[in-house]
Amino acid sequence: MVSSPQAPAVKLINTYNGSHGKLGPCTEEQWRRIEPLFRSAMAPLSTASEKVVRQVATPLVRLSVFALERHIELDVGLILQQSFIEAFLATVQVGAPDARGALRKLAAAHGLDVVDSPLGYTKRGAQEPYTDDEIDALLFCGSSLSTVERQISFNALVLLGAGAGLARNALRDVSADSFHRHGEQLFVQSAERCSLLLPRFLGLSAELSLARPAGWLLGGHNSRNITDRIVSWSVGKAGIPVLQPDRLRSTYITTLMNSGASLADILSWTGVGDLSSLSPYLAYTTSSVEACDRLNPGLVEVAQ
Amino acid sequence: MTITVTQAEKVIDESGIVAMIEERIAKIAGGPGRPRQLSVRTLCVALLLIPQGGRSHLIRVPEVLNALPKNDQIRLGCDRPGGITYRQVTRLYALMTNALEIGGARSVDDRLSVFDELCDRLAWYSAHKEARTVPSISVDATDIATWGTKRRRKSKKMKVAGRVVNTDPDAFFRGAKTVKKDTTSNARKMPKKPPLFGYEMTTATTIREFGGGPVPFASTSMRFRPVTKDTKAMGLAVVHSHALGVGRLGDVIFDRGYNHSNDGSDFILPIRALGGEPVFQLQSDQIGTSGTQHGAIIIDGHPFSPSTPKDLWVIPQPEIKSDIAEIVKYQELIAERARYAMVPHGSRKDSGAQIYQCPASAGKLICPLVASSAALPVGTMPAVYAPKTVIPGGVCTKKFKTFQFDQVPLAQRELFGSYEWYQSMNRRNAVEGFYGNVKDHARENFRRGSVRVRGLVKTGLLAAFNVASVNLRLAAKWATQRGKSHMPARPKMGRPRKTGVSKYVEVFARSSSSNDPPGLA
Repeated sequence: MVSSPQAPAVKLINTYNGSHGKLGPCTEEQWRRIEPLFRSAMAPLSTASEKVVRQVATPLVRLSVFALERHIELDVGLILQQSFIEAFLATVQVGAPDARGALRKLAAAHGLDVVDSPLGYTKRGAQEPYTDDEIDALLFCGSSLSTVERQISFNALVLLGAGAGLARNALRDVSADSFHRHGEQLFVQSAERCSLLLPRFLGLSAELSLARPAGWLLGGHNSRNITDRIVSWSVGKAGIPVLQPDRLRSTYITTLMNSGASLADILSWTGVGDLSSLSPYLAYTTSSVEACDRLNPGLVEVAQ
Repeated sequence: MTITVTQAEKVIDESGIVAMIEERIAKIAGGPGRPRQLSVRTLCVALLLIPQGGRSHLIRVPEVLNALPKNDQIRLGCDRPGGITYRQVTRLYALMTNALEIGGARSVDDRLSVFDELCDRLAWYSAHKEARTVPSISVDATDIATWGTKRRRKSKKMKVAGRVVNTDPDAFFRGAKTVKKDTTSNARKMPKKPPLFGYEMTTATTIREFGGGPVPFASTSMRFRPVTKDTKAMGLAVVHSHALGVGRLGDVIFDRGYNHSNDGSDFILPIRALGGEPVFQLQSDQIGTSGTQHGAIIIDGHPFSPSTPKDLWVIPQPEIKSDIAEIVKYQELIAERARYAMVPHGSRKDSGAQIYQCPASAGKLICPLVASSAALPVGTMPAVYAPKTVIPGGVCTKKFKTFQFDQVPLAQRELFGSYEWYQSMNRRNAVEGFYGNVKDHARENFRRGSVRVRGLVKTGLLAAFNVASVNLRLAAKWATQRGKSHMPARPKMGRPRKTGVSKYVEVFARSSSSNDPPGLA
């Protein structure tokens, strides 16, 4: 008799134990109470990837512990309420991985209304983009760091964030070989998408490709927190804005929107799932009159 | 002695008890006879002095009076040749105590009305002057065993059980079975009160305000009754006396021995009627839910939102002497439940009614039934069990709701079981400390053996003088502490000052020439 092989996600859901591990999110006693809810709540994600299941599992266990401590019944409909998730997130230590997205994904999988909740929670606004001067200041900061390795890593982060809109996981595996051309335009290939490199950063990309021809462009292949480390190098420097990958990506998206690129291209290059996700960036786009002024041949080339 | 004769005279004169006693003696005495050599005033002064020695035997009275300095004896009128005799003391004491009882009275309270007033006056005027302005008190009673006995005497010839001989007919016997049976799991661990043949002394002891500074420690009112007498009535009597003396009433703290009725009619509501704020422990059957009022769930006597999770409805209170970790865990559960508690709005009305605010409108919960709560900061706990339907006019339809005095009688200002409640309730320990002072072997030592009289008034009068003696001692201690700095100055650390150096400085500091030899100036 040959048993059919289980999908990795299903296997993970069936074998996951929240009390295991050095820093398990719950105790064994708590897990005994949480386990039935966990299995049933994660069932809709059985067709998702193993990575998604991992992202959701720990926040769900922590949310269940939060409910247990407040004597709330472990019911999917109760604990995945938007307001309850927000109450839970308010107790999460700052700097912990953002569980909001994972839990909302789970709530959506259960058909719960996650956006237009009765209590009127709205999506978070987009980060404010950097100005040109601020980008210059960041690049200057990068070139004045103490070691060459740091200089390359720092400028690579600015390049990939503000020049190609890459942030978080998309930054992984990007190397000098990831730069390639479609026609006359230069693109960056990441694990998730192929993104147009803005013309302003063409020279910098050539410099960095020469300086670090092999390995991750960010450096630190074995480090899990390379982005945080790079950000920390610019903290507290006079005249230098705080480096935030989300702001770099916001800079990229608003630049594309202001340049008049087509929506299909923007969605493709930025990896944004739907048009509603672009709405927060509208607050930082220029008016139509200014956009007309900017529709000069140079930027039109970028859009095409 | 801590108390001087002058102080004792001052208390006796201020209290006016001499006039009271002599008026009563005049009523029961036959006609005018030979003037007494030992006056009532002198005996009262002596009775206030002898507890300082730790023995309240009447035989100590002539010893104390005859050992006084001559001028004190002359002033007190006890300077007769041969001194005051024990017989004079016992006869006058018996006359006084007989006079203080009203004959033919229907009840014990009527019989002892004059005696009660005397006890109150002694306690009040012996307390520190600042203690007489403290509105908050702690009420409790303590056992006082009688010197008398109640035994069944065997007949030697017959070798069978004989008749019961009671040498103190005023005293009563309290067995262990009179302790209320408790049904909680902790009840088995509760120590039962020991059997007692005797009396119970109830006092009102001053305590500081909740969160306030220290106040003088004293008992301002006192009652003395047989042990089986209703304790609650005595408690109310001392509270009433204190309120009359001070002119207002603050917190009144008492244990669960005074809180037997679920409607609060026997003790809590009368205290609220006097303007006091009762702080008390609940009986085991009062813990948990007890129905609803205006749609609110009454838990531990307090109104809660109907969205309170069921798991939090009943939280058993750990025993008082439990491990601190167990008490902290209990307080955490209470704090978790507190977010669903209705919030008192303003002070209690004269009618006893109290306005409560819905926890969602008070900003503690986000509730779909309260529109304003949607504007609370993101992360505020939601009321996940908010009712689907609401009672018209209930707490879920209004921001504020008035509860009448009899609808939530067991509600307290601090939520029962919370950390704040424990802090407030801990002030009750003052009354236990006072009884510790009264019975301390090294102090007044008021206990069986150091008191060898029988009868309610005879024993009770000595108890009143012992309470007054403790009050005077504590007042002297308070004055000493206040007279100096509240916090004594720390002794200087380091090398002691060298006197030679100061001499050297003096040489240069004086106006004459520094070239002059020392001592010339």
